[in-house]
Amino acid sequence: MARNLAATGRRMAFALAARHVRPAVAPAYRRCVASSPIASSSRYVNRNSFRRVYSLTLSSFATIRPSPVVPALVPQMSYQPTEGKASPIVHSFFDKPTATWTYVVVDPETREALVIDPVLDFDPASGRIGYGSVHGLAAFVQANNYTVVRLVETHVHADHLTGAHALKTVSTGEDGRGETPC
Amino acid sequence: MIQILPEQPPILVGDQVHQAQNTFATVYGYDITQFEGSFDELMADGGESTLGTLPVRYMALPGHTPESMGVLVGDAIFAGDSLFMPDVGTARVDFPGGSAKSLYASIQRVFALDPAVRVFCGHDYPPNREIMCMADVAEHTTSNKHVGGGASEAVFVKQREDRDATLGAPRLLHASLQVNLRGGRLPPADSEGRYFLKTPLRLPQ
Repeated sequence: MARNLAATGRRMAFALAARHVRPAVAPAYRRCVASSPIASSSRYVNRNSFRRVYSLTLSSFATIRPSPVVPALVPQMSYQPTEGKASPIVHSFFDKPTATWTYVVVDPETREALVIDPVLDFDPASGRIGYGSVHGLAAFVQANNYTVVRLVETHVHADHLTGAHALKTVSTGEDGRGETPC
Repeated sequence: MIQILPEQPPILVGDQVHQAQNTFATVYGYDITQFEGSFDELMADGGESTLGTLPVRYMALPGHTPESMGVLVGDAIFAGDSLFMPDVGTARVDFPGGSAKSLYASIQRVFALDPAVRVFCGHDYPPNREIMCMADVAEHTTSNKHVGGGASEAVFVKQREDRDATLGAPRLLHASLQVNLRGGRLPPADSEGRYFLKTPLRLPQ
């Protein structure tokens, strides 16, 4: 447990330090690394990150804005509506490990969106679940001011894990930490 | 708590999902009640909805799996694994509840749409080309490797079943089903908060 906390601390410290030097390119938020058992480590993390950014002045702390660690996913392709027809914008995202297409389908007038077949990252060898794709997709949606009104599963997939539930419950804690209860 | 997706959008799936849930609850030894509430809304064949100002229609496309759906949004249909890119063809039908005949019939319903409707597929396995995700109905009707050019049901079924006989289980089969039948939730944690997935073993006969 101690080792896990330390590892988590290092990751979060890196994340916190990184946001002081990385320009915000698109709204997004940090990877989910914290949940209640780890919450007690946040003081340690903050101290650690303070050391790393020691040279910054206090005033610069006051102006720090939350900024991305998990960047918005970049669509493989974005299709514009067909002229003269009731037609959506379609953004396609390709998940390489499972060769899966995820779509964000948008009404150009209202910017309401469907997300179709989102992917939950999973490494079967280690059993590791990852929220990178889900968080990246949420960041993309947010960056484009889309409102997701439905998450659609075309079927019960047998070749990748769905990110639907994770995407539905994706949120940030009050202190800005990404959380995705699963 | 700030929600990034503040509306916590509902999760939709085809209304035949109970077929898959019943089948696999038995396979994995889960109580079927564990699957209750996994999805927020069920899509029925012919169901209509809107996305902002755009019309949405749901089409049952059984074949690859019994609960497979197509979602028609304006002039774009999201057909899941019912159709892949024309040079790849169609998806396997050898999962429980899958049927080559049903898939053929489902695809004929897609072919009956406006030829200009764009079909967006669920995967791409490109044979020596860049990945692609869209071809229109007209392209599929003329050139889909398995169902284009007026292929008959008999020809399609034989070709599809012969091909399926050569395919191994998908790499993430068991993990996918145990999570996806719950809409993406994990199976319940044990008393120590640990999560597990099951792998049914197949012993030599």
